[in-house]
Amino acid sequence: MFYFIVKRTIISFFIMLAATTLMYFLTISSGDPFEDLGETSGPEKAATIAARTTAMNLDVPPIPRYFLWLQDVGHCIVPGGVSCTLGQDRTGAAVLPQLENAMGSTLRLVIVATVLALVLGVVVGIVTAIRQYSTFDYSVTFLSFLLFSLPLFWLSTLLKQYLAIDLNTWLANPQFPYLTIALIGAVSGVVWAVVVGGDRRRRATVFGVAAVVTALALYLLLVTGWFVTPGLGVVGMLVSAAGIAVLWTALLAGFRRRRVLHAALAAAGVAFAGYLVSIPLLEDPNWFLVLALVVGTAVVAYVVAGLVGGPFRAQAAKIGAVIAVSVGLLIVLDRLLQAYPTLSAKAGGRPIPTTGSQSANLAGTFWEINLDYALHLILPTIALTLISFATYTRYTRASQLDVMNQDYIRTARAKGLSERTVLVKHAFRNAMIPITTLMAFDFAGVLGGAVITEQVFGWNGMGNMFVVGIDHVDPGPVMAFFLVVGTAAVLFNMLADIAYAFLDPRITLS
Amino acid sequence: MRNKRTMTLAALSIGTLLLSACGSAGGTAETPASEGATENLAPTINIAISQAPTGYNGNTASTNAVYNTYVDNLTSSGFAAFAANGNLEPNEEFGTYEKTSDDPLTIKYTINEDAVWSDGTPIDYDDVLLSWAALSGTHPSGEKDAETGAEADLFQAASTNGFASMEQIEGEPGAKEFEAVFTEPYADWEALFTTGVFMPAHIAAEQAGLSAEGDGAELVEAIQNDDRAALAPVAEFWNSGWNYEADLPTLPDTALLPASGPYKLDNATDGTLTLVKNDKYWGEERAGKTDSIVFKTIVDEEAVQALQNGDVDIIEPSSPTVDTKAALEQIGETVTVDTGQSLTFSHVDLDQRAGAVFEDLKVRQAFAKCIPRADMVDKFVTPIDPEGSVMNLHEYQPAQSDYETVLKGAPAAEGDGTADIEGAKALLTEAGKTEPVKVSLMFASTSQLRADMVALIKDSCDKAGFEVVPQPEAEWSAKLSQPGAWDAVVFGWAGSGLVASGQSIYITGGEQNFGGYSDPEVDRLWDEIVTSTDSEAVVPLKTELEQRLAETQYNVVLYANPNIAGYSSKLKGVELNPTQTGITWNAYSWTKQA
Repeated sequence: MFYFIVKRTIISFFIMLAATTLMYFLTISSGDPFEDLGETSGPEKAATIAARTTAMNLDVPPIPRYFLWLQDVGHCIVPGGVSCTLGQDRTGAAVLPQLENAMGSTLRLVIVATVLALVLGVVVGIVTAIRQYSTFDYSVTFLSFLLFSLPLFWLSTLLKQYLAIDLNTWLANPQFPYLTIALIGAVSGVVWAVVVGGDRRRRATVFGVAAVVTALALYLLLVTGWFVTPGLGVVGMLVSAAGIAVLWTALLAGFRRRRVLHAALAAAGVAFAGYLVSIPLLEDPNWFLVLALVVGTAVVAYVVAGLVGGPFRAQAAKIGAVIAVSVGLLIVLDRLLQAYPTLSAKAGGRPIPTTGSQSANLAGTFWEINLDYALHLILPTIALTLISFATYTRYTRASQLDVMNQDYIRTARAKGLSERTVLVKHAFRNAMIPITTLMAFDFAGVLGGAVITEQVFGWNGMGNMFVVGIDHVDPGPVMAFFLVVGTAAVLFNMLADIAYAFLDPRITLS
Repeated sequence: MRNKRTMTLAALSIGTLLLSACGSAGGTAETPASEGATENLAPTINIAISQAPTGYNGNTASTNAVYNTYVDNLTSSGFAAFAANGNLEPNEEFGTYEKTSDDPLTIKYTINEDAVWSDGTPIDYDDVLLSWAALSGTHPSGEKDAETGAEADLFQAASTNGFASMEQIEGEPGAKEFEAVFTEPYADWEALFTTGVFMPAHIAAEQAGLSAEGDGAELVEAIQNDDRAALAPVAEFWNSGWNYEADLPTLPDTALLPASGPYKLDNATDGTLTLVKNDKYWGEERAGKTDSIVFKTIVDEEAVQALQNGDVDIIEPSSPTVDTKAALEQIGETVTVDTGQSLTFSHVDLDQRAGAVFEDLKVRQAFAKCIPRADMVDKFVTPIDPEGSVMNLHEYQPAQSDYETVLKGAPAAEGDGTADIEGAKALLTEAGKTEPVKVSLMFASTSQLRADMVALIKDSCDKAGFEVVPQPEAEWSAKLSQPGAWDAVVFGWAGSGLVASGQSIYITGGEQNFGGYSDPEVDRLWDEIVTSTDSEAVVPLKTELEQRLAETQYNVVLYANPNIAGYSSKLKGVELNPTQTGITWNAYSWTKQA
């Protein structure tokens, strides 16, 4: 293991060195660094050219110039002496602070999207694998290929038009004609019927129920003015907490052990009590307080669920904690929704922005500020999620199918294990091994940012830094970007290999 | 039975459908009344800019960019500024000036008694002297460039034009009056102490370890005694101390950024810059009308949707196309679209060195005749700006008030721009060309517009006896100064509105005279123009110049690029400005209905 890491690190170092050489010369020969000055005739032109020449060392031939850059990188590796700047951009500003800002921005933008795509993709992938060759499977296949092939800039333009410009206009006066409500109900009925599946009769029932429930819910939300002042309310929270308890129990334990269900419901009760207690505390908190409350509730729920769980103490306690955390997230969501009316007024009645990462000069509560962040994240997150969702679904589906056809799954079924146990405990875990590689690559990609998304939605992240650098034929920022992304790719690849060895005992590292 | 049930069901569903078609659910309960807005004016106006500002001091070589000017227009004052007609107009709120002598050229300036920086420090002699010191190039650093042997200045000014021929300004610390004396006449003297030129000297002094006490006496003394050791840290701060971090994640301490204009810098986050009203601003006419102005960095392609969604209130996309205008007009009546012309114009330069294709005047004239200038205007200009026209002069653009006057005096320059194939053919025959004349026409490979223009030229001129070979180049600007790299080239010049700045384009051996044009008459006229200190006297001289340039067919001028601004119809007071000043030139007077 140790030798493996050492060997890989040494090899990776030389790979990176070679890659930077290639990248550097590709960048500096990609155009004319003075292109933008071509059409200026003013007296400033000569001074600007001189300043840029000094900043970019353009008076040095390319090969020594590359070594000058390497020297700047060296300052960052070798401690002491000259300060670490990673070189200069064309205006003479140090690259390192830019890189730090860009990384901060990018992490905020891309992590949510990646996690969301991962969760959604894996869940949908598993369901499609279980229901192979069903209408649902075909629909998801169609949809994921469609999304995968959408050009991002076009998708972004559509999102801005419908989910920002039109939705904002609608939110100013949220109403639907009854016909539209009925149509939305019908569409939702079809989706549910396809997802749930079954014979014709069952599908008809599902369609009917889902259509009526959706239409009715939408109608109620509209007439009660939910879209003007959204939120869950006390009753909504109670129902949701119970629902969450049942859902997690179904997924993690099944209903055969009654005591576990009771423990889960008790945990939901604890979480709900926590909600009631926290109402005055959460008027204008900070992240530390929120986190402390969630952790506190989780601990209490863990203990209470463990006590109620009796003979199944360990399992019940874990489920209890999971439920408490889930309800905690729901409380945060509820609070954010409650902050909506005031934030919307502060945003001039058009809450969903098409550009930027936060509102300027927003003075407000903790919830308003975070809702503002969230609203700025909505469009780019949807765009990114939709596109990487496709990859995850396809990979998970293939991998799950592979596992489901293995002998040991048949053995597990033959033993008489419940389908839930077979799927979650035996199949899912092993199906996740190949996904690890994909995840490693994706998280390395996260650091690289999202080139088009960042530009389209006005985020100053890594991708934007790279594009602007290329555009200016400015190797400083481009190489800084490349260093981070390249190192991340090499590093995460190594981590994936190590993770493999842990997950699959047949693999040894040598 | 079954039939009847089906019928009932059908009737019921049709009934439901009919019923549902006419009603709707939901709606706004109540509109929250906007409080705190005085006279129903919005407290904030959001302006889109395509790149984040890079520094507070826009006078250095690295920060001299239009995005900084956008902000300077509001945070800074000077003795004059470019107005909507493209001319310099005195700003009497800042101070007054008058020419007291022509030989030597002497200007007497008086700064308004009430003029102060936004931190309360008076704007006076030390600020003026620092500007002169920084922009005159008279403080060599002692470091010699290894190759050229030229000595770099302590201050990295974007330009020393004008200030270099100004003698050191005499005065006492705290004085509000001063005289600028020029060693040689300088035509653009009015454009020297304009918006953005004055920087707060007391800040530079303090940051460089000098005392700001006594109206900056220490700094004044250092400059007057040419104390390089004391000035080096001042210069260092002037060069980069006011720079922002790339992409503007935050502002430096705003105590270092006092403003002299109607607005001052307040804060910045992630490329968004906020200005608030400068409570110390002394004037009335230029005093800010809206509480705060926010600049948001948005790339041009995304600006239209941002405007439509209300994220910004005004956008001014650079190099607008027909699509930009269509997209803006599609939004409807919530957005107003203004179009006009800019001082930037497109033209075809011709290589006329000895032995080059266009050495012969007749060939140049033939090429000028066959270029379909009117067609280009119809395709690229009038769909955006209906007022746009063919441009016939070199030094004046149609957006300027003197354009018509000068054009009348230079008959050789007149023309409607329609391609004259027969005329071109005849000229080529006269020139003795029997074979098609091969012309390698260079243009920027990154620009679709230029490619379209070249296609039009090729189409028309090939009929007249030329053989135009399109030559797209990524490094076209570097190749401009390489003789023989091209026969003709299409590109643009950004007109400055200044009198003398075009000199190096036209005189023999001029740095930007890429085609090798040489005419003694033109050289003589330029000598007179750049030393003429009376703006009235320049017009007849330039008329003569235009006549001569047209007779000798210096190049082919095509058209002035159109300008477009889209803004919320709630915004009042917006006016396009054709110069490089940008749309914010009068943003202090904008108001927005809440």
